[in-house]
Amino acid sequence: MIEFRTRDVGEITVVDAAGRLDLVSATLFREVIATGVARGARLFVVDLAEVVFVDSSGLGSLVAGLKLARRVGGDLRICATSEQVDLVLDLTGLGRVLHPYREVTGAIASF
Amino acid sequence: VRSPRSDTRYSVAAPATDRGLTAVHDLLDRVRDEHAEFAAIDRLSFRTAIAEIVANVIDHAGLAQGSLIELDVVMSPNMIGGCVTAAGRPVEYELPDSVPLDAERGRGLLLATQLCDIRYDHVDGVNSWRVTRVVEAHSAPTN
Repeated sequence: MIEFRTRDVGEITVVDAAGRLDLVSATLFREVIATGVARGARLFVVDLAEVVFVDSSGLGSLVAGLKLARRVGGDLRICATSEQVDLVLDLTGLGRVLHPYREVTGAIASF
Repeated sequence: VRSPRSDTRYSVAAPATDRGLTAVHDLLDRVRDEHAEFAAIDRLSFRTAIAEIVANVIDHAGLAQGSLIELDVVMSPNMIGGCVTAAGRPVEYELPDSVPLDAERGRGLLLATQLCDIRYDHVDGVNSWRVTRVVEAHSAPTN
């Protein structure tokens, strides 16, 4: 299971995630980003500090979120990745696309 | 880091649904918590590979409604092994050489094979995926 909470920091929407981002929860994550875009958000930071596991479906949902944000002229960053998330980002090459930051503040400052 | 002196076995049977995937994760959480003696990279790799296989079975294997997935795990001094089984028709998979970076699907099996040795078989109406990761054995404490 997973929980998402969103908060605005200036024009940036921070998505705090907690739990597993996997086949079960990937659709929900897409909906969180889509809902943000629908209300006018363009810039997203996804805080993965409390995410204990990400599988390929979860990675796919992050890619989908990134594409959705870029479609409206925005972008998406991820941060605070665990050792497991770093492992799958590295093996899939998605670290080069999703650019993980160590902390929320660094991800916010990168925009 | 040390390995156990003898095999430790775990198993779970769960519906081939989202709820079943959660049950598998719960078992893998237990394995992780009870086997800190294995290197983190081995535990993470095995866990990720098993989760990918189970998710793939649930999402793509076309199992009949009400089907069960069974997972057996063995933690051995030199190896971490798992076997995922599900009754049903043979499953045909196509393992891609690579996946485009902007793809939203299709990475699961490739990722699993990068982390562990995966062997698929279909015998007597049962699909099985054997997942193996060889680990470096270390001396156990003598006390």
